[in-house]
Amino acid sequence: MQDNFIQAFKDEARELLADLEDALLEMEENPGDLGIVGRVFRTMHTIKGSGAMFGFDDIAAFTHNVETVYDLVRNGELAVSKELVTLSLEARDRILAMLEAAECGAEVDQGLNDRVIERFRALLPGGSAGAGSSHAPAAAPAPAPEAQEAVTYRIRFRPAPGIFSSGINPLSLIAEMQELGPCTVVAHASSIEPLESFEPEQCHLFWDIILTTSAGEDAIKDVFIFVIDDCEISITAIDDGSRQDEYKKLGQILIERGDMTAQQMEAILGRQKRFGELAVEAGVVDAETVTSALLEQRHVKEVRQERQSQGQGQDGASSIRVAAEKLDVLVNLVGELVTVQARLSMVAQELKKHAELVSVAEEVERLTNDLRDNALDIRMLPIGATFSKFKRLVRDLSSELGKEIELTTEGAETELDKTVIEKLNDPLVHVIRNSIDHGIETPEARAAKGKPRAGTIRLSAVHSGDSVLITIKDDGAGLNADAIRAKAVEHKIIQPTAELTEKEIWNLIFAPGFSTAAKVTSVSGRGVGMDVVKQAIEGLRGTIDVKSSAEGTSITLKIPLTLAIIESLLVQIGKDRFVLPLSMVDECILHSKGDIDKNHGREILMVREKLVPYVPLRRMFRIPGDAPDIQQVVICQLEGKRVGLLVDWVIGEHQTVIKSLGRMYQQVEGMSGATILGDGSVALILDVPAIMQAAEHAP
Amino acid sequence: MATQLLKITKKKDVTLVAINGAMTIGQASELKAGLLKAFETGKPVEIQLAGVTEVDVTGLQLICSAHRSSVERGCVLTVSGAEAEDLSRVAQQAGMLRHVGCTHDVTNTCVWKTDD
Repeated sequence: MQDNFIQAFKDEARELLADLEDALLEMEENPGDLGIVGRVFRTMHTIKGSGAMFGFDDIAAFTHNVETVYDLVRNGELAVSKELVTLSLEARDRILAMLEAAECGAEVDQGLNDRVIERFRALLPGGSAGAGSSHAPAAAPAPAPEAQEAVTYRIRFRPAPGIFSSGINPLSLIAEMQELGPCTVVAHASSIEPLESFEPEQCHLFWDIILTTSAGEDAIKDVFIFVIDDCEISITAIDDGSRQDEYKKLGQILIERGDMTAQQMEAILGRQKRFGELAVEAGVVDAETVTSALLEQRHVKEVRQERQSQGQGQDGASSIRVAAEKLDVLVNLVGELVTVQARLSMVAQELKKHAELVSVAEEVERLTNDLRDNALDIRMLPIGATFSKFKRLVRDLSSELGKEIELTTEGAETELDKTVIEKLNDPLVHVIRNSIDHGIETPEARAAKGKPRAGTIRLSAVHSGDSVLITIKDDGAGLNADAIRAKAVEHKIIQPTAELTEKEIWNLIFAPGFSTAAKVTSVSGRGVGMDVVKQAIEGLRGTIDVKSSAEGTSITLKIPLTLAIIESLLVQIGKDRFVLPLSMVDECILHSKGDIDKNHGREILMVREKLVPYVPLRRMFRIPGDAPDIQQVVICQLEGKRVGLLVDWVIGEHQTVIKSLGRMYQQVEGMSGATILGDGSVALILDVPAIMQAAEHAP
Repeated sequence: MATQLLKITKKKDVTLVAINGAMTIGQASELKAGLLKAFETGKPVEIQLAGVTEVDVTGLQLICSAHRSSVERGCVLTVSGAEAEDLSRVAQQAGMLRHVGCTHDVTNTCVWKTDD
């Protein structure tokens, strides 16, 4: 059991650390924003508290020292500086290192920890906090105000009539309370006299305030600290969140408040009408008092509902942590189900006379589709978490290279399959590194060109059909076509005489071993990178598009939403069936023997007055037998080029559950996987980019 | 010329009271006197709050008091311009907005009644 908790702590700590990194970077941008400082402080505090609770004393002790510094920052005694942010980021990395070391039982570099702490100490006024050695276990933190449960209080606030003369504005007190948490305010106006006898400069109102706050009763008392002598104030805790049952009945509230007695309530309950009306009719309380009590009832109900729907943060019921493997198993099972369902539908079609079977098959199809969408949806994650990791990367690299670079992100909420997101990380790192190293110029060079000194890298994600477009755009120098060409010739990737379009030149940067960087830096220039990017993206069945000018470079990655199940087109050649991703297919065109003769055997065809080359798959895969008289060409779009694939005939659309090929077949060119069809036979998934490449390089 | 804080316009069947400026404790006495004067015309009174720049608890109380006077005198009171953002925000904050009027609101004409 304890192990479970420890695992939960580790998971939580990782999230907190990611959040901390975001907060720190944000703090650097807005050093004056105390809200962010508060966030940093709270995160440190939570890490420290839960670390101590689960026996991570080193983390607790270390974090305690950092927290001490942030306490000063929070109180305005220490300013936010770049140095502080850098140091805090380092500290964050140390905490992560300690967490990881604990996981695999390794030793942490205590010396490094101590040095970080020393530097934090140096920031403290007087250069030392006297907080003791970092080895000393932190005193178990007193329960922090923010860690407390939210409690609902009823506050009756009756200012003395002369309160205005002492310069106090009751509204500002109410406003202060509203800052503590959700607040329902009811003013009682019944003691206001008509104008004739009205004393305009005295206070005739009194208030019932229902406040839900985690700040504790003392915080409420603090609000009234200066008026305590001029007011009648009663504070009662009425709901501490531990009970989820129906809130108190109206009569109970009124009795508790002392507005009526239990006997009075009993007498009224004898009659049958809504209790509130009855109470007013009976003249025991006025309508206003009842309203106030009703509002209390409503406030608590709302707070409880809120609590339930939010699941009270970490330990509520609205979200649960599930191991990723379990989800993968689920998605696999759903994949199997989709396959079996396709088979069921086919059988049902064949046995058409069994109307009932057909209708059951349709029902199963509908449910399976819903189940598939839901199961895949569970694995969808917003890409924002990946994006925010790059903020740190950009910050560290740019300062290392002496450049000023700002990273802006857009579409962080765009969702992608978890496995896709994981595999996207490395390619994105490569592309961003390239932008920082080669793309963005030094501040001086930029100033000379009339660009702003600080370069910008824009990361954006946007949905487009069944894909997501991720664009990395910088406002740097752009790609140098001549340099790329020269390099490609030097590496014998192209012939010196080759005539290339701009697009083809840009695509050269993805050739293996290609790098134009004049010198090898720690960042890039080793000649690995862009080809890795291309491989990784193609592994995801995605494509890359490069645009470049003197104003900058933009690289767009088109990534399918999910890897598990795709919409595809089923085609047949001889007796074999193949599928190809529908996202790549533009159109299908009939192609007769006569057309082939017309082109004198050249493998091209005219589509709306444009020449499109095609690849005869029958020949490529050496499928025996003769092609039918009328074949079909599936025209695919890839990297802006249109290429056809000649097949016997197109069967139609198909829901393809992707199965990877066995290890034995991993090297087979032109195939990226397999799927099981409704009749139980296997269809291979065509790897369109690989087929095109192979055709281009064929003699 | 500075605008008048409280301007009473006597029409044939209504007395208009336009308040321009702050409705805070500094003006409370002056406003009360003005409102009383308006009620003495015996005609229905319309208080126009569109020109109010600032309001505090005394201002809110004053409106309540005027309403109570209107109920006691049996003289119709309407309040216009109370929905202006600043004013309604303060009224909301002070917990004035309500579904049911106070004890004195026997005519069910409370100016703070809302539907939400």
